[in-house]
Amino acid sequence: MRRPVLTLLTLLFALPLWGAESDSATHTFIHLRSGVGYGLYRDLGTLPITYRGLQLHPGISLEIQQPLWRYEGALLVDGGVYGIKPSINYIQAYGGHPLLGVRVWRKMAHHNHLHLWAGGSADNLFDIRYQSSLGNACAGFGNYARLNLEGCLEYTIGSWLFYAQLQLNAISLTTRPGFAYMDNFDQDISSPTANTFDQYHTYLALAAGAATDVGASLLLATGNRIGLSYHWSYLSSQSSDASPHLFQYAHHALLFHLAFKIK
Amino acid sequence: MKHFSIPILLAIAISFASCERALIADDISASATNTFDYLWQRFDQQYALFDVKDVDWQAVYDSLRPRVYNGMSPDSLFAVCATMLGTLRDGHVNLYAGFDVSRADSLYYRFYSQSGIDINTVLLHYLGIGYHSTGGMAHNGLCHDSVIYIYYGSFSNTVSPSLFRRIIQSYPQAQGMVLDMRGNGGGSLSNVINILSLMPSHGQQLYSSQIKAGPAHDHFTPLVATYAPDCSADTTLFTRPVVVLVDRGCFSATSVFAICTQAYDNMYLMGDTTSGGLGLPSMGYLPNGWRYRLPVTRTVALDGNNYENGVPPDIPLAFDLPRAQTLGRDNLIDSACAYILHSLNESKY
Repeated sequence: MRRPVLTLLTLLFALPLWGAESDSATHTFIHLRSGVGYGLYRDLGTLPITYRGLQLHPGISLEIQQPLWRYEGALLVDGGVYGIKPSINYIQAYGGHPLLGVRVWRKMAHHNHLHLWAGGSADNLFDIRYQSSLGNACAGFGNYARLNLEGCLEYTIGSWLFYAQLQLNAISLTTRPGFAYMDNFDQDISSPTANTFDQYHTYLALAAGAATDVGASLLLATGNRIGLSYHWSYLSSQSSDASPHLFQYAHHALLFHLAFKIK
Repeated sequence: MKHFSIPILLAIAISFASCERALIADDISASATNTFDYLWQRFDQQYALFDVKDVDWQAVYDSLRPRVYNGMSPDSLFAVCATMLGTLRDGHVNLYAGFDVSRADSLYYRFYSQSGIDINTVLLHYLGIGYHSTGGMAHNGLCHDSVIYIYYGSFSNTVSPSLFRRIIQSYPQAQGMVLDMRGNGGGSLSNVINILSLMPSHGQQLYSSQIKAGPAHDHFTPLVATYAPDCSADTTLFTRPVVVLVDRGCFSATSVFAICTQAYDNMYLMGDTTSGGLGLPSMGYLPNGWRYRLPVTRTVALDGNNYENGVPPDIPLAFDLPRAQTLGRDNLIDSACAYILHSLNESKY
């Protein structure tokens, strides 16, 4: 464990990266993200109570910065172990949410050290949960292909960058189990795996989520950055006639960021 | 502006994070009345078999709800909930409370009061000491190996097509097969297909099924057919007569297997009506953490009937328990062997 950490810190603080002193207006960064958090979810398809638990938040992204534009592609994951204890039994569940997305921001205004960015993102978030004691409803998959509106307020002072980001989900193509909520029901029992999602339904959901990030980054002489942020996110499946059971998920996380300038 | 920036950022973050309580409402309390009402409602909306169970679910609620009050003991609440679910007489309906599990008692009493098998007789006088065990199937040859006798006690025991083929090939002189499924309470449906894949078929329809699609008792998806695996190119199929022994202990996947025999010309059901259980179950939690199980699908046999309450045999025959216990003879196995050998003689002449 110690060696990878030392390697990362060496890269961050000491290594004179090849593009660090370039005058180019375009800079490229690789972001590494990790953190711990607290998550909660409730899926009314199988239970009327809320699971809560600790989560880990690894992630990696590639960002291209230009004076007026920013582009980013990211693979982010959050997942953890959840539990409820409404009676004599502790009920445990496991869940994870890999997210693959791209975002584009444009600088809309700036005043002295204050910059306002606005843009949007497209991402796909896959929800997988496992509740072993629920038989044919134990997995509970969900998929959310989303378009989001985003804004970011940045304030720079010296080597420090403070920022607050807001993401509002505009529309989501949501896929969820149907009314009977069976995750592995298939009518063709000769090939069950091919029909796992037979009873899932896909529908459009509006305004199904939001997220915020508030943090600070220290800009190093090498062009790299190190930072810390607080992240909050909320997701709702909304519902449709064919898939009426609401799924709601939220988490709070403290994230540690490293950004390596590679160009 | 500079002086207001940091407070603005913090205010944005705090305001959105604090929205969470407004977005995700509090859980409903785990009171006895909430728990009972939730359980009743989930069954009212998701249980798929009210039509064949002939139960007035609203009347059940009206009669039992007055017995529920907040502050009652968990045991008492469990007893009322179990009574409510028991009215459905469905082996796929259970309530799991950690300290107890409710069952469809009438189903079990019916099985044990009308048991269709004496396992000691089977073990001592049919399987014998040297029986073989392959893929969860106990087997041996009867009538000088002219009949394969297979006892399959649970569809939870995985039997692959290759293992089933190996059993068949172990008895090259066999003129028929007795597939004894008495007392088989079900298991994995994939084993149904694995066994049927060695029976002669051309991809014919086996049955059709539909899944609950809305809260009304008759709200289902359209019926979708399930077909037999097309084995017409397989030269190792078992084309001889197969007599499947069934009784009241046959449930769930075993009943599904029983209705599938309608699609095969060489398969016959002998014994007693099965206990049904053709609907596939799903599960959920109650506000107090108890779990429930209920069928959310319905299955229609090839002849258009829903045999949820039991699949009748082609050849009804009551098990003679005194004969088994005194003479060591199982009249169903003997009759099945005679049926196979008689069929053989008939086909010869």
